[in-house]
Amino acid sequence: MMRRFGLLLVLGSIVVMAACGGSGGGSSSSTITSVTVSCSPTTVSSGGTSQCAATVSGTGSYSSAVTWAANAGSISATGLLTAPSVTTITSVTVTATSTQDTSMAGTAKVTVNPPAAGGNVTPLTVDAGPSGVGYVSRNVAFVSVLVCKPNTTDCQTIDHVMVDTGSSGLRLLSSAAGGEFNLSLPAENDPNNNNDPYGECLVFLDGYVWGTVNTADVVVSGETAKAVPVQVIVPSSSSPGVPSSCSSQNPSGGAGNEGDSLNAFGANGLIGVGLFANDCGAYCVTQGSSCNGSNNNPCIYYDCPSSGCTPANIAIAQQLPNPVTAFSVDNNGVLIYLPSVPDGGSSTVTGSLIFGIGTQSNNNLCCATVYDVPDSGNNAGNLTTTFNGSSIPGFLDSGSNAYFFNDSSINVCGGALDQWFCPTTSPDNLTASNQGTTMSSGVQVPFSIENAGTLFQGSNSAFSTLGGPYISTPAAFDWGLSFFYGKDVFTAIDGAGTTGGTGPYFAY
Amino acid sequence: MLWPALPMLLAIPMWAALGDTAGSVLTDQARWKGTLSSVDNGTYAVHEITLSSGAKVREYVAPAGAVFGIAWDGQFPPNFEQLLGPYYQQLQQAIADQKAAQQASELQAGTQTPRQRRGAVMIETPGLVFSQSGHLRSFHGVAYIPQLVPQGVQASDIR
Repeated sequence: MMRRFGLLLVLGSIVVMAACGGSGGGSSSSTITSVTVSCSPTTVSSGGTSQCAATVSGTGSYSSAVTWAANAGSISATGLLTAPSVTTITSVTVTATSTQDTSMAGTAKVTVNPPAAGGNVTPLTVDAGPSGVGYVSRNVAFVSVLVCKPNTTDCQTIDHVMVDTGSSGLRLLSSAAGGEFNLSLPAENDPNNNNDPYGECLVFLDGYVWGTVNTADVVVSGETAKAVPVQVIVPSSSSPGVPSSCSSQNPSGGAGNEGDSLNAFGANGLIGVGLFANDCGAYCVTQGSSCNGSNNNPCIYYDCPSSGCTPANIAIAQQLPNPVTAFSVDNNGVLIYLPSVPDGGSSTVTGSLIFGIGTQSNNNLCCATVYDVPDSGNNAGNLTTTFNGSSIPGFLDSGSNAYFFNDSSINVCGGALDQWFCPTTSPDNLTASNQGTTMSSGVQVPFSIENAGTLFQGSNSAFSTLGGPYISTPAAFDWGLSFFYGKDVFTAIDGAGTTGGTGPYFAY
Repeated sequence: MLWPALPMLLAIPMWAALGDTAGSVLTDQARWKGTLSSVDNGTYAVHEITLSSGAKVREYVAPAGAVFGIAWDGQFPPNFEQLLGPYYQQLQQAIADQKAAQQASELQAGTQTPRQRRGAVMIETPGLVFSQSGHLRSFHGVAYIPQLVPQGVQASDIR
């Protein structure tokens, strides 16, 4: 910068020539009224970059020029932040100062993650899916899990296990069902009923999975859950087959078995690391066996002697746990980080599944906002989402592969794509706000939706702008995997103590 | 949507909520061993049964006495065979058709049209509308028969 013109700016009374930068402003009649800053992405890894932009407002022919500064890392003259290398999740503050009026400045924060390392971290990958699946998997995040016969080295590494913050428990697709798992694990037995082995029928929205309940050592990175109950999913064709009380519960009837094939299940397994410590709870302890053909109680766990399966009660300790609860440390929740992806999506993205909240240097809450959710009742696990003027239940679910919400003003794709949004203006930038039970007001969430037909044209797997209609009564907002990119998303387990309070909560 | 008339006649269960008479509400309450609370707003009555699992089932009854809609919420989905009676077969067929079409699309090389994972289930046929949403520990849904919904009642009243 030419010192002579710098001197003129300080005097503030002489028009600055346009060649000096800015939009030729700086006359005595112009003022700067505000400087706002935003950076994208808002979360990066150590050494990563985030592009910041400044919006300057003013009166008269003011200058939009700013100078950039960051309290850590480095930032270029064009606002490109290069994040420092950190050992703990760190918030970096970026400042843009008006060159015309150095008393006017704006700031934004960027969260910087430490490098992925440590016994509580495992790679989390969004890719085309397990080998042998008949389609390109879209927005499903996978990890690998080592499963062993308890206390032995008889193990199998299962890849492409889907990570699900919307359920609890480890479920493995048997090789009979088209998956990989074929270890012979010990059965888990009902001590109150002749040590009959347990089976389980878990119903989802329009289907179910059926299989045996077995015990295994589950190892992910440096964490081990010893001798925990897991479910081994078998197909309908297995012997002795699915009890009719299981298949007749769900809307699809017998056709609802999501574990009938690799294509149906979409993964070699499912690791449920959600809000709840186990997959059934108190109901299954005292009422599990009472489900019958007429009382409308669900049948979940079963005693399965060779004569056939009957609904059973089951103690909490024997129900499928969220495997994180069974780790000796880092057992109060998880942190999911996926790097941001550009409009149009990415072929493959790798981030991290990190165990524990506030237990290691790499899983501190830092700058995340905690959204408490109810642990029971009508809205168990839900925060409040306000969208288009209505406040409705919302939930964060890495097992949903997009934003699902209702907005009749957004065009829905035609033909076979009628489960997806095809906004006429793409990307369509939207805003909602989320609120936890202990918050006095919501926090804005900007998000955008792109035309799904265009997104699906290639074979990209990772999309932060994929959305679809979620026509439900009552209305709800499903913040699926699209939401997770470029963020640190924490899921705290019901009843677990963390540095951010006791779960259940989401934080981001 | 074709009505599978003959199979339905052969398979009439001893219980039915949707489409049945107001009297079936009491039958359901007894069978499900639930507690009942009722509200009548003049245009229709809503009978809410709270099950021992904590789940709630609301049955919407028209003045003429037919259960035209049901809604539910609870930790787990209800038993749809019991809830929908003869309409259960119709629902199964509609969902099976929808799933088959979605799965075929998904596998069709060159089109790459994935299905929603965990999106709400919605079935709309002339004789039955069904939707269910939620996640483990919190499921909500409705089912109703459009032809039985009384004049002036919005579908969104069934919730």
